[in-house]
Formats: sequence, C-alpha cells, structure tokens
Amino acid sequence: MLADYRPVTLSAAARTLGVEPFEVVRLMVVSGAARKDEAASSADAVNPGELTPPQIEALRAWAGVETWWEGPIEVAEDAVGTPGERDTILRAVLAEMLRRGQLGDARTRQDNLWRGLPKKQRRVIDEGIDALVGRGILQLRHEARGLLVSLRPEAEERVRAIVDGGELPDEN
Amino acid sequence: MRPQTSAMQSTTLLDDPDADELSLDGALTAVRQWRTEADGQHRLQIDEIDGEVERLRIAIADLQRQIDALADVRSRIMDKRRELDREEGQRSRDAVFSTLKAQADALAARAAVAAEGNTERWAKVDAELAEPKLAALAEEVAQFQSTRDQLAAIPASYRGVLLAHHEAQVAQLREAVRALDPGPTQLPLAPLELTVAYTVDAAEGQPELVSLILPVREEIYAQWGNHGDDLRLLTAARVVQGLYEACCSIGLVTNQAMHGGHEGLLAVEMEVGGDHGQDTAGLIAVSINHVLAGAPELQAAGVRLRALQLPTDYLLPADDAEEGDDAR
Repeated sequence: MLADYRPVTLSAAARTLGVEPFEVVRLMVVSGAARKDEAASSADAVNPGELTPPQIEALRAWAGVETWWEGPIEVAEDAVGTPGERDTILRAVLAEMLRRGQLGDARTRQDNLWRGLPKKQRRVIDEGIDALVGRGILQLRHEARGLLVSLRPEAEERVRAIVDGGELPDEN
Repeated sequence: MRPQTSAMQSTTLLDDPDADELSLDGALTAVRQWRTEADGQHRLQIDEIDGEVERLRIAIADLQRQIDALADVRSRIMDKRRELDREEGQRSRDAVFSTLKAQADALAARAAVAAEGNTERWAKVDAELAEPKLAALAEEVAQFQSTRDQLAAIPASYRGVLLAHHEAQVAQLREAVRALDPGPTQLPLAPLELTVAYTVDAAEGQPELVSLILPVREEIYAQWGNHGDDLRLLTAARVVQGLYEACCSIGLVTNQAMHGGHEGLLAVEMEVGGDHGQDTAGLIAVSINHVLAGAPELQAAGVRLRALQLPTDYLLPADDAEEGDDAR
C-alpha cells in the first residue's frame, strides 16, 4: 500500500502511458524544452527513474497519448488468418479516426491507433498505415510530441466508403 | 736491249723463282688456306662471342626470374599490408565489443547490489511511514480508494470536492514519502568505469547519423516489461536523455531515436542530418556525459560512464557501415 506513494519507476510510467521507456524519456526532455523549462536541462530535474503521477499525466496531456481500445478489435471467426482479418481491423481504425474527427490538421499520435490492442493487431495496423499513406488516405507528420497521423481531407469520402464495407487498398 | 734497271738487276740477283712460286694453284691454295685460317679464327671468335652472349642471356633470364619472384613476394606483402587495415578494424571491433560486454556484465553485477540497496531504502521509508499519523492517513486514503466505484452515484459537484480532497491526501502522502526518502543508497564499492561508445556517420563532412553502443545487454531493453527498472535500464535511459537534450539544444525536437541490438548489446541510433553550425558529435558527448555525471542513481552506485567517440568501422563492419545496421 505504501509503495503506491513512492516515485513511479520508468517502466511503470511507460506501462501507464502505454509507450516504451525511451519514449517516456523523450517526452520528458522534449516537453521540458518546449516549455523552455530551464530546470528540465539538468539531470536532477529530468529524472526518468522517479516520476510522479501528476508528471505522468502532464506528459500524457502534452503528448496527446490516448488509449482508444480497451480490448481487441472483434474479427469474425471465419475471417481470422485471412485478408479479411486485416480489412476488419483497418476498417475499425479508420472508423474510429472518423468518429474522433482525426482529419487534416486534427492529428493524433500514430501509436494511439493501436494502443490497447494485442500485439498481432498492432502489427496489422502498423503495416496497414504504410499502405494507407502510400494510397493517399493517411498523412503522417513528425512533431515534437511524436509521429502524428490524420486522414487526408480529400480522402474523407473514400474513407467513409471503406468503413461502409468498400475495398481497402492492398498492402502492395 | 734496254739498259738493266735496278729491279731487273735485283731480279737478276735473286734466285730464279722456284716452281712453287710460279704455281698459280699454289698461290690460290695459299689464299684459300689463308681464308680458311682467317675464317676459322673469326669463327672461333664469333663462337666465343655467341657463347658469351648466350651465357649473358641465360644470366639475364635468371635475373629476370629473380626479379619476377621478388615482385611476386612484394605483391603478396603489399596485399598483407592492405589486409592489415582490415584486420586492424576487425581486431579493434573485437576489442571494443569484448570490453563492452565485460562492462555490461560488471554493470549487471552492480545493478544487483543496487537493487538490494533500493529494497533497504524503501524498507526504511516504510518503517518511518508506520508512524501513527501517517499510517492513519494512508489507511484513510486506502479506504476511499476501495469505495471509489460508488462516486458515480454522487452529484458531480460533491464528487469533485471529494476527489480534490482525495488528491490532496495522496499528495500529502507522496510528500511524506519524498521527505523521508534518503535517495538512492550509496554503495560502498569501488567506482565502476564504463563506456558508451558512439560514432558519427558524416557524409561529405556533415554528421548524418549518430550510433551508440551501450554497456547494457540488448534484452534489458527488449524485455523491459519483464525486467522492470534496474540500474541497467536507468543507465540506458540516461544515455538517451543526454542524446535528446543535445538534439533539443540544436533544434532537433522531432527526431526520434531507434534502438535495437548489435552484437548482443543495446544500440541506439538517431539521425542528426544537416549543418547545425556546431560540432554535433562533440555536443552529444558533452550532453551525455553531463547527464550521466549528474544522475543520482549512478552516483550512488559508483557507476561512472563516459561517452567515447570511435571510428565507424570500430563499431560497425565496413559493409554495415555503408548499408545500415540492425537498429529498429
């Protein structure tokens, strides 16, 4: 019980945020630089080994870390292991992006698209993003808070058609 | 009758020529004999000369063979000499990685001792927190946590007040822990000197890619979810902190480091392309060394790391140095 009030370790902070430890460190440094916080430049101030819950939540808010999924995306049994599984997962992601309004300048972190999903589905999404970017449906942008993604405004109609059951671009 | 000349007189004084002198065959035979003798002498001389020339040709051929043999030996030595560069690179790489692996093992041993120290540290804090007032506060907070699900039934404004009070109580407990925390346990051990080896790939003079090899086994980061925090993960985190601080100081706020394994050790890479108007490699070293020197957990454990720049082929084989490495 009392252990709950100790500083939060780096790995615990990474688990809480749903990112890797190095990303926690990066966010601590970059968010400090972004706020022009002089204290953030010293080893003592940026102490990745001992964080506090408010610090972690501040990082979450600054970086826009979100957890969209509380469990795996449901895939029909007969689609498992087929190209249909990939299509189902990507349709669900595109639908969620539409629902959240991640269009044009309204970008979100790329890892938000799969945070909360099992590893297998994460891999499908990671690979699918490349194909969707290549086909002009998604756009990526590097910012201080991370690699951001959004739907291309000109692809909105096409995305709605895909979400409604239309064909997805293939991986090649 | 003509008067006798002296020649006639001399003629008349000589004996009458004998028959041989009057023999034309004889005369011509003498000529032929002379010719034969002369030919013979010339042939002998020519034969001697030819013989000498042949002997010299043989000597020349023999010398040429010796020259060719020496040239061949020289060529093999030159090849071996060129091979020395490659072998020096390979031996240097072997020396670097065997040393870094030994350092990784030493750091693992030190991390185990530091973990024991950490356990003692928090045991002392927990013992202090057993003080009645703090214990009562912790009990109260725990009790509220257990009833949190019921908050949804409470009107929002009341809920807000309760949650704010709860956060204040939690903050009080955290502050109590912080005040009692003596910090990382100072280990009574000899300093452990470790190295973060790095190289800067500079195409056309401009630094493009920084690659670091840490004295930490790859699996410590690859399986961070299983290992949790120990000194090894924190060491890696501090190196990455130094790298990002250096990049931020020159405006590279969007760059992300990639990580992976190289020869079983943790490798970190970051693109730093472009002319930033200063010595990027030097800046990175200064930043990493500054962070490492100021890290309390490393100081307490007696771990001293420094960043050391090495030639690219000491860390990456020549073909990997050209084509890229294992980093993700």
